[in-house]
Amino acid sequence: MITMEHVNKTYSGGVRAAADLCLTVPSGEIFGFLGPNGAGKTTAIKMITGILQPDSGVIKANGIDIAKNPLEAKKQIGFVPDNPNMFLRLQGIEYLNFMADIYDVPLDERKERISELCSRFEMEDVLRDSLQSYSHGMRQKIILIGVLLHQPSVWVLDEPMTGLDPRSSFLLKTMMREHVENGRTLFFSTHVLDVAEKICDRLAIINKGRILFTGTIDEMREHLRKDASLESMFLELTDNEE
Amino acid sequence: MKNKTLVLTRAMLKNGGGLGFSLKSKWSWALLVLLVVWSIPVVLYGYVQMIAFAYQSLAMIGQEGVLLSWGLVISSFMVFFFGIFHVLSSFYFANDIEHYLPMPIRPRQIVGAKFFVIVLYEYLLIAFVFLPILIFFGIQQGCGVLYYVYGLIGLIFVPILPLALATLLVMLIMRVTNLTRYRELLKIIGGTVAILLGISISLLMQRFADVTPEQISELLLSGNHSLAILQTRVFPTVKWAVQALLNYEIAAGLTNLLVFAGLSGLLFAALLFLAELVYFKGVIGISESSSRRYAVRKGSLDRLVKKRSAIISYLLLEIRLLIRTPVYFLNCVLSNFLWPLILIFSFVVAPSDGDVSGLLGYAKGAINDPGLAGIALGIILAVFAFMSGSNGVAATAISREGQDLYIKHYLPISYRDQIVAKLLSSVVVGYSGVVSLTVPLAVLFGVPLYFTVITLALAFLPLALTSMSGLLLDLLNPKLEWDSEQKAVKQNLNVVFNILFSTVLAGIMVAVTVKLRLNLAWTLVVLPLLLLAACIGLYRLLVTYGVSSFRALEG
Repeated sequence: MITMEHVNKTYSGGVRAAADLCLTVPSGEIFGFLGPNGAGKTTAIKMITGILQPDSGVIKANGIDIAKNPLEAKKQIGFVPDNPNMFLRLQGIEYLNFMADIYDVPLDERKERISELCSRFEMEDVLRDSLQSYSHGMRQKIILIGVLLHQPSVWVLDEPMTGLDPRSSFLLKTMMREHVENGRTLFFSTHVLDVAEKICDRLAIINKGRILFTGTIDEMREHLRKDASLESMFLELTDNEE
Repeated sequence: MKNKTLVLTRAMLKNGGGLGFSLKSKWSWALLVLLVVWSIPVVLYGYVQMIAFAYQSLAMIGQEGVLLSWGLVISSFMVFFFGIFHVLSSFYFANDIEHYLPMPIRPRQIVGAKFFVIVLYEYLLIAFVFLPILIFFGIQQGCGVLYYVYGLIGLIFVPILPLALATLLVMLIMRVTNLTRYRELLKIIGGTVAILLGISISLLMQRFADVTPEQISELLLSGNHSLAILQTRVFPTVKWAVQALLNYEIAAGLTNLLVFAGLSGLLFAALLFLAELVYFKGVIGISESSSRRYAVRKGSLDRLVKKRSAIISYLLLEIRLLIRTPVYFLNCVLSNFLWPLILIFSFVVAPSDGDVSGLLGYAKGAINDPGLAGIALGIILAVFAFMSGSNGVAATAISREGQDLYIKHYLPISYRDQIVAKLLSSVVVGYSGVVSLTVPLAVLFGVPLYFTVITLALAFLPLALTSMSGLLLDLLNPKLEWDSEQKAVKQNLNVVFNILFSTVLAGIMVAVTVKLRLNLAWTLVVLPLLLLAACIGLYRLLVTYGVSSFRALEG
């Protein structure tokens, strides 16, 4: 579970990226985070994962306060950033070993998981190659594998579908579903409404640092007009703020 | 319609020429101009001395003309040598090629444009190597204006032959093999060889200082004119250029010049013809991900999966990046090993009765003299402090993260541990330099084993101290906004500040041992205590102030 209580963040330039954010991401559901560019999605994700510190408010992952106990809280989370261009000069296997060392994964477990995840994502053949030689989608897959090695109970995914081929995208969606069915937490951001509509159990819409709506898609439909597509709802929600 | 080759040349020049450098801001121009204005007179002075010496030696046997061919052959050789790496990186590894491939341009136009860009760059090199020779020779011989005109025209055509040869060689190699996979390795090798070449030349220049002109002319007369023959063997066209310059007053001069220019033009045309045939075949596919792609079997995967502690794993990551990133390797790692190389090389090539040998004897005596051994140790540790402080590993440790710094915020490893791992990376790199300096010198000097062991054991302290100062400087004001790795290390003031710090530190260390005239036993007490105290102080700063700065940094 992820909770954000009255979280505020204003950048030095005066831009308010989080305005009294209150959000609970329950376990057992795929939770989507939607918003136009510059709405504050990335800021919120950065604060949840410990990259940014909020000006005020409390953020917890599985009840652990990220400000008070950052290392324990970070270990609860598996974070996949939107840009997979990292660790490019490492070989795939070197990157995976590094992540497993940092997240303290026991040797036997990591062998088993590397073998299993790499075969699921069809990455066994490229483990000895440097990430630099990988395509965008392959980089995304290896980053994802690295993040999943420690079996985090909270997944935080920033635009996870971008660049994945249909097969990997389907596989990821399946894994996301499996993850929440085991009673775990999944929080992902997207601007692709179709994706959100198809896989989210619940979603939040953010604009200008404020959460405009939280609930299931049905609830949102009810909340606005019946039978309206999520797209028009989304546009309506964000337009009203203009 | 504009000539496409020229249009391309202009576009490439504006984009930084694909040679790895572009000077966009006025500041970088100003800095470059300042550097050039400051360094040229110094280097030029030594160079002109050498030319004068060579001229004198050759004049004794009436062969002054050989000086011109030497100048041209050396220029050609340098163009050829650097050309190979320039052509590789500009024709095959540069990012701009992918933009040109889909355009309706012929291979010869791309090759021609890229060739022109490199030629322009080579003119700088040739102007520096050959112009002083041309002018010196002209003045000595009292040559007329036509000599200089011929000289300048010749200069324009000089790089064509060697660069065309280099291009042909590279194009043929790339046609049959795919070196793209090794592009980073090639950059590292190219950079290393260039630096080593520079050092060897400057050491050779020093060596020349001990030889008399008579010895040289003797060498030339007895040696089958081997150096003079070189000109016609390696770069045959050079001989026409030399003849043109020597006979500028008669018609033969002009004929030779025309032959030289014509041959160079022909070679260029031949190059373009060949480019049509082979360039695209070698270049298409370079953007494909090149990799080995072999399956990792269950058994071998078990061997590849290893468990290390988080700090060691982080340290390994830092060192891998330092070694595998060409810019980091050349600027941060290689410099550690150059010091030993320069010192050892200068001892090995030094004439047995020169100043260096006297110094060697003195140093040998100092280490073995109980009264002076303390001061010797102080000086050696001070040298280590300076070496480690100037390598930039610690002073760019945060800057090198650049826009990826955010990754280090979400990983569950404490900021203190990250700082320690970064510190260790600097100490490891510095220490390998120290070992590679100390061990050969200890053998060379015949240093007692106990002294060597003490030196190596205490080396950790100055290395740790200068690493901590560098890291602290970089934590307080990192340079995170960069688009090429070059900017993270080369244009980073923290490196300069840490060099200043380590210079002051080295000065203090020497001053303490010399002023107090400490013997070895006292040096072993005083210096380590002082360094240890400073280390503890800086470490406290790092884990308090440094950690909070790290946490507050937004990548």
